[in-house]
Amino acid sequence: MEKIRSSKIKKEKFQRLVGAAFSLFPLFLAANIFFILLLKAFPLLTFKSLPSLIFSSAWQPVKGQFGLWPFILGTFWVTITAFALAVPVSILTSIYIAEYAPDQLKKILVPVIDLLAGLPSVIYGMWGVLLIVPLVGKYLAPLFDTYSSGYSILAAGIVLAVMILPTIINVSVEVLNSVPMALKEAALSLGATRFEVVRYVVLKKALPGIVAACVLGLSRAFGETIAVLMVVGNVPEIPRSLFSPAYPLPALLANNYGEMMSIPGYESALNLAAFLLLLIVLSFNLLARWYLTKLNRRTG
Amino acid sequence: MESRGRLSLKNLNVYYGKNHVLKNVNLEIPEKKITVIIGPSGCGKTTLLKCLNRLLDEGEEARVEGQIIVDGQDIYAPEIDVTLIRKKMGLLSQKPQVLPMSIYDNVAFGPRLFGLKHRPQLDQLVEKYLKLAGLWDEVKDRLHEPASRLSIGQQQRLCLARGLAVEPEIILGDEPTSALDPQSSRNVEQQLLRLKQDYTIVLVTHILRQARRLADYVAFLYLGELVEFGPASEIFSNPKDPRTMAYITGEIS
Repeated sequence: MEKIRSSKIKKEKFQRLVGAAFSLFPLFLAANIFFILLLKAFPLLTFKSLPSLIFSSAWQPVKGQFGLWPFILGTFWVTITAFALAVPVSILTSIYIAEYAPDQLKKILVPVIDLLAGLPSVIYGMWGVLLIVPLVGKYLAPLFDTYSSGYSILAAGIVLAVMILPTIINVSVEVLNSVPMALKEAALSLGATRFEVVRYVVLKKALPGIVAACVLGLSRAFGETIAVLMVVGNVPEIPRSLFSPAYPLPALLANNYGEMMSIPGYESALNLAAFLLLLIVLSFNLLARWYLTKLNRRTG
Repeated sequence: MESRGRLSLKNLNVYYGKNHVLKNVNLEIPEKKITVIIGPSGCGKTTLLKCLNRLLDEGEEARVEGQIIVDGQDIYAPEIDVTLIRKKMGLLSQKPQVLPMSIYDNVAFGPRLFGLKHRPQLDQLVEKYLKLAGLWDEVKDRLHEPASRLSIGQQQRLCLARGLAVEPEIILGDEPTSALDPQSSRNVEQQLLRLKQDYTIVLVTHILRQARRLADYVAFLYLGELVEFGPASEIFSNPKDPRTMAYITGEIS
């Protein structure tokens, strides 16, 4: 009896140890990615200053010029465009689905949105090339009296917006559904209309969750690679308008990493670009987290 | 104006799909008294209460037949503005549902919906109804804190104040003390006893002792049927129906 018991305790100790080891693994992985990029980027930093790399817009690897500014700007332009298009649409859609849509419509809409969330991004890229690029080049740009090949920030923004819509909608609908019926009833029984309940109570209660949903979409938008590089034009210039082409960081990496690595400093420059992308996404997530805690503290 | 706050239910039937939850209920709820609806869980008490301010319209498919007359008006008549009906009744739910905003804004919520913006007037209302709900002294220095920071008993009294602020004639309570500790429960009960001078109160409870403490009239619901209705003293001392007898002696619960 005693023996069985002590072997059980040993077993449990062992299990706990293994569990701890595995749960530390993600931590190790994150640190590993961080340092490996930094390490690889370091050689370039020994003969160029960091600000001169980040803020210069001359990108001519053969001449040893590695200005990353156009790529950084391209990343922000595309992401912000997508975000600005996606957020209003997805919030309105999720409110409609959660609060107003009849059950039959919900039964069709929700699975379709799930399906869209799971499509491979290259499919979105092809859809963008086939539909959005010509749309922007032939119809939208002339409307604003400019020329555009169609391969542009706007095309990338639209494609990207469509890609992050399902994610934001799905999470927002979950959040809105989690607002207790009894709370809505409390507001209704004070004489509020359905719309007033949504406007003053449901949205307020759901705001932190909806912000989190948007951040999830934003993170995805920052990092999305294939679909964007297929429609964005990939020209390393400072973007002038939504109709200009751009060259976001992920596209730069995907297009060039592994090629022409013999050019001195090139690999190092690409690693620096990757590191910057990592920092951008990371800082947005931290910012969002800080904002969320603030929000939660305020409304409780 | 005759008898404000009088409720009568005529041939009320409620169905959830094929489920017949309330069966031909006829009930005259007297004004400015506390009427307590008792009965075992699942007997339709909450459904009955939610019919009274048409909350059944929201939520899942429920079909309501029959009439509910409030101040001479059938509240299920098609031309009725449902928000005005609901404004006539304050609702206290099982768990206090404070709105995600400050204490002040919770009380001011209803009046603001109906267009009151004048700040001094709102201040007055907030103070008046927090006092009426017996909460003013505890919160007067922190009116602009989130309501969620109040204790649960305070939250329920805040809900009472918020409900009173739309100037209802009727207070509906759906087991309003079931989530509260004994001290807070007693506090809410005391407020209700005080408020019956001015309001018609309809309470649902499954706590018989609470019903004895509060009720002027008692309605006993069993399996969707109104078995017995009458003055509390009669129902508790001399019930006519054997099922009522069985329930109040604890044989069925």
